[in-house]
Amino acid sequence: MSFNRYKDIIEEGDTVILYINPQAMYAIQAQSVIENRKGEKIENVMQTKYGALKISSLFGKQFGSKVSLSNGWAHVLYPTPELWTQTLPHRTQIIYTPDISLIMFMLELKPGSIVVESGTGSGSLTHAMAFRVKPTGHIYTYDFHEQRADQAQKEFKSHGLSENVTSQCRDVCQNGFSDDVIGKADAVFLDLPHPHLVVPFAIKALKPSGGGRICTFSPCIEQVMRTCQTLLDHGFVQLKTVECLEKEYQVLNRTVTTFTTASRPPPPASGPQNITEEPGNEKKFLACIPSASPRGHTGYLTTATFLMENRPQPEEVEIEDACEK
Amino acid sequence: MMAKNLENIIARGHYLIINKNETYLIHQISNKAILKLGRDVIDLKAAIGQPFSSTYKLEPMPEKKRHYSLVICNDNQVRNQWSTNGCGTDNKLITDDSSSQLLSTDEIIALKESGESGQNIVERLLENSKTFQLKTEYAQEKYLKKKARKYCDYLTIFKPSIRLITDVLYKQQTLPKTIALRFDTLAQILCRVNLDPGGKYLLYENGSQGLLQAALLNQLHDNGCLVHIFSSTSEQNALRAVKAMNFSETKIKQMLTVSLDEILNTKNEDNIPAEKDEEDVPNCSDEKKRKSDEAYTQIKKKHRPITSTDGLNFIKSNKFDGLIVVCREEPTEFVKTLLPYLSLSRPFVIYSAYREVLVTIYAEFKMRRDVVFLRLTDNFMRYHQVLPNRTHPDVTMDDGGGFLFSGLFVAGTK
Repeated sequence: MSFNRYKDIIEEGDTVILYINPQAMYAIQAQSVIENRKGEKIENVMQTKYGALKISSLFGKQFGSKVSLSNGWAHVLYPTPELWTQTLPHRTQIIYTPDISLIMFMLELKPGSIVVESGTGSGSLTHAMAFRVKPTGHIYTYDFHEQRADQAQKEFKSHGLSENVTSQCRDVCQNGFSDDVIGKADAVFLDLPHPHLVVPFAIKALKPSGGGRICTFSPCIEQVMRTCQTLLDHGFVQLKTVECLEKEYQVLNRTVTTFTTASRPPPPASGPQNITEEPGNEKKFLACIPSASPRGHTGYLTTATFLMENRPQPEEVEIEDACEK
Repeated sequence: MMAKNLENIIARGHYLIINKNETYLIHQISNKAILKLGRDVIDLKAAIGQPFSSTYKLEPMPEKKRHYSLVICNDNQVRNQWSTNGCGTDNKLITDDSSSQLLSTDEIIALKESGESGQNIVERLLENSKTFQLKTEYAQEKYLKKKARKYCDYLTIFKPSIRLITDVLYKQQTLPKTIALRFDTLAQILCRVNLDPGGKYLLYENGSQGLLQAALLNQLHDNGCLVHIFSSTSEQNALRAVKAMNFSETKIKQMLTVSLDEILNTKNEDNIPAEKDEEDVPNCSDEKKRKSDEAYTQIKKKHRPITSTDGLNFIKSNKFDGLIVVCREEPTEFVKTLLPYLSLSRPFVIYSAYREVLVTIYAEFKMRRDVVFLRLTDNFMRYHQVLPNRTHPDVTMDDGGGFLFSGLFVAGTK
């Protein structure tokens, strides 16, 4: 229940991020008792590489406090959308925080925004958007995969996001968005294989007063080309396609040998080891090291603005909607 | 509902984002509703009372040169369509001898001044171009786009949004006087600080023309709160972005302002262990050292921090949900002072245009036990040209996004 607003004290049922180090972070459900494989109720104990953690020992602790593991320690953190993205159970390929931040910025989300999203996937972006538009905004999210949509629905409920998120199983490429969003959306986000097929439905979902935003996420440039053409054909403006990769640096103390000794005659018997150990030959510095194999590609983000259209179309829209039922 | 609709109607005094071709600018519509754009004078009266996101055609006024009035034109399907009569396959027949246009410059000027519509002028230019039919379809497209821009102009008025304002300010950057915050960097700051619309935020900003304040206020709901700590060396036009957002007065009141000097002063009063104070001294910037008491009071007067004591008390009596520092100064000491005001498990984000500044603070923070999830990043960001058969990354790239250092404040060892 801890996702909808910051809270300070951990209670049973909360999601907690156990932080050991940046490479070892785990989302845990704070439940004192769980069922084992035989269906017996047993004490919930989590095994980490630094030893065991009794989950019930977390209750009453503050988010952000330090907890002891049998062979070390960790911090228990509040599950911000960013940390959730790092730790959530993957049901699909997910969208990561650098893209999420751009998507939310370019869709101009703020408290009160009504957003239409497809597909839901693992809910990484949905969690972030729900936090951004609360308390008055709403995310309508669709996935054509029934099991995934179900799981997502359950997850949003158990995370206390039901007020801000409605999740549905629906193939929007075929059927468009549900009637309850027609003409209501401030923003539409599409992450599906054929975004260009959904553009006409997106127009129906967007507020007719204009200024609504659309963003599509596509890993392949061919999808982007079709999307851009469709958006232009439908009168969207401010078309932009951008890719953004985050580069992370590590800061470490490093030492290099300097060349001052190279000009000196080498000491006869002692060999090269002696040279490096001589303090005068070394230079210590703070190295800023880029990650060795950073992500090279995620997807292209295409964004555009829907301008007010005064083409008389509403009647047509209604007929089509009726057909869907 | 009524109030919501009114927000979308252009009224005198409103700030607007005006978009003509590739240029965007922030403009406050005055009583006269006149916009000077380069050498052109545009009468915006027709836009008053219209909803945002409308497009207008620039109609030349017959009596005055380079004066235009607006005519609403929202059907963007009919805009700038000219029939082209076949095209060539390459440019081998086209030579640059300035003789391809049969109309002389004087004739074109005369056409323009005769009050002829832009559509017709471009048609005449096409009729009299010897080479247009020889151009490839891509070159024709480019040519038409260029001519349309010159003779047949449209202008769209958008409601100011953080996205548009960020782009306008970024293009007008005057380094190192202002901070040029690129949109992806700002987007990431908002995400890294895990903005909770009902949260309480501490912001130190100096140099972004109010972009940070505007962005944060925009993301706050009625119960959210922002404390803006400002420096006495603040730049001119410090609230430009905040003004441009047309915020309501209640919205503006969600922001308290406190002078940086007050914060640094309180620190002394609070009897924080002496060793910490000593640490501060060598790190103080020259400018702070130079500041005599006299100068300090003057600055205080100039800024009239009316709410400052409230703000100060507010800082002292509250725990915050996030700390954002966007400045041109060396932020280490300042960040260390403010970190304890955060609730546990809350993020802080620091922006600097210089990686070196953040590397130092990273190295120092690595030794601390009360911060985790430290990250130093920058972005590789590029735009793509997407056109049929001509899709590729833009030929120039912008590598000036700056750097971010972020982390989470947690319980230390005790």
